Amino acid sequence: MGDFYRGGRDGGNRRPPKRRYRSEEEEGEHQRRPRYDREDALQRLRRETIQIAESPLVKIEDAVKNIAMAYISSVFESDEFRPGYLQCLHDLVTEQPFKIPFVATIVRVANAENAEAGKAVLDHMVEALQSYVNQGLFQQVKLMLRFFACLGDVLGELGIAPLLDEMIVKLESYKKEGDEGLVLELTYIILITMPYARVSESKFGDAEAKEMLARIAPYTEINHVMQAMYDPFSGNASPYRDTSGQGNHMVRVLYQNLDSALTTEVEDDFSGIKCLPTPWKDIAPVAGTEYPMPTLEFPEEFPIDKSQLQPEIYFSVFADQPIETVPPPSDLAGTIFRDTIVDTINILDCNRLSVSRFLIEIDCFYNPKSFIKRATPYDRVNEVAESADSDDPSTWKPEDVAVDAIFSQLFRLPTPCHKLVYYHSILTELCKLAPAAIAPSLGRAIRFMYRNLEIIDIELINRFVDWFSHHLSNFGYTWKWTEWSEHLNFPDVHPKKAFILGSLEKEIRLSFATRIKGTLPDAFRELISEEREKEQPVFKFDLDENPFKIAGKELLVAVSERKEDAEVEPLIAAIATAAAEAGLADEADPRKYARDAYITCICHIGAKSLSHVLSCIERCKDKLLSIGHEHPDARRQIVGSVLSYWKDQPGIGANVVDKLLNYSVVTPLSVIEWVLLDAGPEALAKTYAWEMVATTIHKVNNRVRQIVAAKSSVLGAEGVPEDQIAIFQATLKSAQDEQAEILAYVEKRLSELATFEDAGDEVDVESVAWIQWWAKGWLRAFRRMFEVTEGKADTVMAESS
Amino acid sequence: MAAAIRKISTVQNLDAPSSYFEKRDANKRQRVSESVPKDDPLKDAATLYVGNLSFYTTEEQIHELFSKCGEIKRLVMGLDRFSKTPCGFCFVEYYTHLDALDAMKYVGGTKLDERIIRTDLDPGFKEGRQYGRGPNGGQVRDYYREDYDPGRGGYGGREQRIAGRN
Repeated sequence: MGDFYRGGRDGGNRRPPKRRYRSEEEEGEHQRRPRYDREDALQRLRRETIQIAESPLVKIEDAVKNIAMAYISSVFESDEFRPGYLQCLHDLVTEQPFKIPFVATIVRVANAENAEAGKAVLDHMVEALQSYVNQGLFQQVKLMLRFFACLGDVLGELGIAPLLDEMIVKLESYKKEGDEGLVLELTYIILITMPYARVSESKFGDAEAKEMLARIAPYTEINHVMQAMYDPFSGNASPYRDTSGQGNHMVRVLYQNLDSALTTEVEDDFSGIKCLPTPWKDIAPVAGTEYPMPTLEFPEEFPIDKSQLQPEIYFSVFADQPIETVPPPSDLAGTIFRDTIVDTINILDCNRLSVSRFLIEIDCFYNPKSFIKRATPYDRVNEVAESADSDDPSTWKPEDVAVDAIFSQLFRLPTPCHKLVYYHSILTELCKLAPAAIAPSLGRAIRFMYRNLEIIDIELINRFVDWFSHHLSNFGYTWKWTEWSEHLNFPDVHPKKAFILGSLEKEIRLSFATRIKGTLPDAFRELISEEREKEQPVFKFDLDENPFKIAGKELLVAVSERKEDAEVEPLIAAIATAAAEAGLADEADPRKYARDAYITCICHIGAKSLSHVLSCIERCKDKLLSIGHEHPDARRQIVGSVLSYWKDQPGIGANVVDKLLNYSVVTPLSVIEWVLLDAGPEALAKTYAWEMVATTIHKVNNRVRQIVAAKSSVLGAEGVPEDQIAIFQATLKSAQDEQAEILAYVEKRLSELATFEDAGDEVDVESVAWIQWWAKGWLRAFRRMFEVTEGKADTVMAESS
Repeated sequence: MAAAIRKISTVQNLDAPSSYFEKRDANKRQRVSESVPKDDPLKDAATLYVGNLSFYTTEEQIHELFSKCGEIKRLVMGLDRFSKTPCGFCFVEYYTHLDALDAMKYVGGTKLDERIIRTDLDPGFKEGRQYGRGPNGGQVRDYYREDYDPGRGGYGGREQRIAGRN
């Protein structure tokens, strides 16, 4: 399967494409074998089990029964096969959450048939669960508990309820200042297990569930200290029709969902708790021998970084539509779908193709009545749902539910589980798999985001630009730009206009200007300047009006011919003298013009490609380092010279600056100062400006993190010499000082820009307002990056060691 | 981004290397000795081979796409060994193995410059490997290619040679 997307056109190729092998030896063997040939009993059963519920053509009753019987008859008795199959069941539970109810049904059937065979599975799972608890691997704990919940009365007449009760009791002991994330995580795990327990074959009924919910309620009101900063929307306006989810974390949303599901009668037979599949009802009504669940030990401390436990905030791109194509935030079904889809996405990042296939087929894993037929067009949803011959009145579109979940991760604050490009890749893959179903759904999502640009977090606007341009690059850059034509008259700093400009800029970076122009309607073509289509920027010393043109060209030749410093330095000095004679030089910094000329030469020599500029910087790094120290502002000016050379392609300029940062030619602070001070207030609306600052801050924060992480390996051993400890402390101190200095600067400068007034009447009133808006948004985003909580903004928080 | 490395066993992993190095090594191993246990040369590989590029795709475009998976340390364009012009492949070197694996998983098989590109883990660039090894100076596959591919110099080198002879 890994091969089908490989490059090349196989049409004319006589050689079959190369095959991939898998990393593990044992599976490697399995892969290379002709398919299904010579499979032993374990391999066959493993394959059938992993595919459970995937095909609507196979009757689930038959599949479950066959698998359970095969397990008992040909695998369970074999000491060679049994461990492998138990592991397979375990892996399926922790890797493919959609299938948990079906795996549990297999185990119920097996247990009713053969108590020993059932016990073997349960012993294996209990051991794994305890180990996950000890390690603080909460996602796995959650999925294991769900498996046990689905077993129902195999665990006793109340099913998993007694275990959940114990967990609720435990919650109190974890409630410590600063551990809000942990308590919320555990609370969420208990809550999300409840609906599965409720529909399981057990005596855990509404009354028991209500009682349990009442006891857990107080914990759902806890908020994470950073919560306000994690809201995807800033300001008070709500983009949703039903505002009950707005700004709430999913723990609270889930609590409210459960509360309403237990207290109000629903008329339909697909929403709320009824969305869940109950395969055991028809196939495995009998529990068989009861398996008393052993008590779980909960450690006092979990060996994890608890600051990483951050509750997700409710997010949807479809919750404002007149037609309800996803469950509203008040419906438990929405939270149940979201939970499992998000887990599937984040667990299976090793194979975006499998994930996409599951997402296209989500309706296979729930009550089939919960979803309208796949690929029903949006404008026909109501008609199809209401039609007389339809027995499913649900208007929920499976593709919208899936797409919504992906966007919730792409736009998750502070960061999603994986790199953003992973979520891009799933959306691309979905579009390739089912274009007719997915493309319109994405279109509506894009329009939602675009409509709400004025209230979305600035970091998310930049993620949106990044995704949108990357996505279009995979589909021939086709988009109906004309629907945004009316916004072309907006000032460039208006979020909508800035989004259009940013997206085109990033499209060009992935392609080239002429190509992108060709994909645009006329009015949009004008946004791309002619300079953008030139292969290389103009070398300013080639221009006749440049007073230093001869000296500049001489310098270019000298640097490109790799002359020694003894020959280069006099040329630089000559420019400095000429500038002084022309009255252009500042007495305090006489070499400013000369430095600019030198950097311009390096940029021009390196303009051919990134490798060229890199090798040029490498070659000249001593000179670059020394001129950076000529004046306190020298490094900031170096950044300016690079961006001025690359003014028409600032993305490349930003890359060059990033390389100079790696060589310490410029400092992080000088980069940030240039963007916030010299690039002009309008730069706040530009993607390259955002990227320069965000990348630089990430590097600084990462450096502190890496030093802190290395602490135990450097200082952990006994008898570490004093001087080594001192060196470590000094390194850490300087990195933290740098971090604090940058945060202080960002705070100060952005606060100034947030109240920016234009003295010279150069900027119109509307633009001034938007510049202030950007500055406030940047401030919020960067405070979040430095983990400064709202209200604590005055105290500069360096990361504690 | 707290993505702990987790081994997945119920679906295939897209970050596995192709059989290219396995085969090369298998040949070598037969020649030397069968029993010498050796380290997997790709276990810490931070370099990717990227194939099926258009000849016109620039380093900047490659950088733009691949830097979505992490900072790029070095980029080496594959060149026609006679004309020294790009011939449709490159090496992308990251700072970490993890970033290279992510690029395998998230970027391999997607489009760059409107072509589906292919990625493969590579034990690391060595001088000389930037040149095409086909008879025409470009990549071998372009010599034997029978279709017309405007992004890769039109018809394959062998077809062009035959056409020239007639």
